[in-house]
Amino acid sequence: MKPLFSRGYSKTLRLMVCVTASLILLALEQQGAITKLRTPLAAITYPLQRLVGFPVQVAQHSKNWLTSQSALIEDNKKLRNEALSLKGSQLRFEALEQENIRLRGLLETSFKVGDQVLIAEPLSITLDPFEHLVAVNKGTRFGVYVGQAVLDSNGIVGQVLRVTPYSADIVMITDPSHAIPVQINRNGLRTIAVGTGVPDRLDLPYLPGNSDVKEGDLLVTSGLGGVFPPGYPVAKIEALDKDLKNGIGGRISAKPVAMLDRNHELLLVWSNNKPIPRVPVEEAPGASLDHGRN
Amino acid sequence: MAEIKSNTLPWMVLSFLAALSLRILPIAYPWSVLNPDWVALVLIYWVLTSQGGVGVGLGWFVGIISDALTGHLLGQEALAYSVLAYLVLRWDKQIRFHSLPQQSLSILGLLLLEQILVFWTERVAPLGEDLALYWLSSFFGAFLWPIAIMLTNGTNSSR
Repeated sequence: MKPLFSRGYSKTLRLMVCVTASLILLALEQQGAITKLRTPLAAITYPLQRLVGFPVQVAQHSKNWLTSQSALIEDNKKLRNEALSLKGSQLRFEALEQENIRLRGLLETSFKVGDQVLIAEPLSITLDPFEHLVAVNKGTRFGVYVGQAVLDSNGIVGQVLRVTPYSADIVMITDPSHAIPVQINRNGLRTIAVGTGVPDRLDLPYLPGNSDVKEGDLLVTSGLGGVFPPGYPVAKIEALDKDLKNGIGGRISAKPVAMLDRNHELLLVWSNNKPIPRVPVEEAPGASLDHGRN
Repeated sequence: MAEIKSNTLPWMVLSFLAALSLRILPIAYPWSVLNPDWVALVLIYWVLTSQGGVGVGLGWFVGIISDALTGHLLGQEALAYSVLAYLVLRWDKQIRFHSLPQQSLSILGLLLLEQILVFWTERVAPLGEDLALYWLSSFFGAFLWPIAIMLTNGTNSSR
């Protein structure tokens, strides 16, 4: 039996080589054997990502130029009022934080405070149903590390998956392979929120149907697992489905509070892993922030 | 095999850069699902028009860049694009002589296949672990094939 298509053989051979090479790469990367290979590739991808982000930046800048004075004055007034009210609640917050540390000191438990953040801008967002990633413009040169928590101004966005010197890939909390330990802010009930692949939903599969959950409950990070600092908002419980109300099971889902599909600033967090000493008297409250980055 | 003309090369590079940029264009969620795989479209176009000048190797190279750009595991889209380029090479005459609606259908098939391959590589986590043994049976089958043909005696030597 002579092969019929000997001319097409080189094509097939090339395909075999390419497919084998791809599979070897896949297997190696899944085992974490190659981490350096992305750095040279970033030399090609980083300029492209900047290029794509450029029109957005231009649009934002031109918006700054074209704002009318009256709008600016109004904005200014609004922001001033907001700053005032925030400052007021911040005063109370600091007092409460100190009191909390003191009380925990009395209880002989350690407490972590003092998070330092770095602002990063997104370069590209991937929202496949099986992969929710966002690439940002800060990398190892800025001290970003794998597993670092990422926030936006509303809540938790995700954690760092891969880093190159000038960029980092962040896996979002809605990625179907991502799970985040949370607790319900109202009653401290702890559970795990799992990504669904839909950008505006998280699932809470490990809560029993009769647990104390209400529509609109805020989920915050519980700090278990050590990746996410405790106390940051993650999601709000959505309307419970009918089965659940009748007490015969059903799924509990929540809507992330962070704006996951929008292009805006993200915050990379370094949380202070050093426990506060039992009775912190010699250290000023602001000083603990200085060694937050470790 | 025909060589690529030197005056098409800059256009090829430019079109791939444009396609890669379009892939990571920041579009808000409900609309982003419509953003097609521009890189695959451009790849199919160049493989069709260069008549064998470019093919599997180019698909693989572009795939690796695309992987790094979109945050996939390295090799996912490289695998899909090389298979895509191979199929287009195989069927280029049929596809080029189709009417436009028929061409569109072929493209649909190719794009869906590409998505299936990326989806599959996403889920094939234990590729290099214990499951490696699972693939061994195919290799053994390929090894047995010539022996089986020789044993059936004659089909091999009659021509």
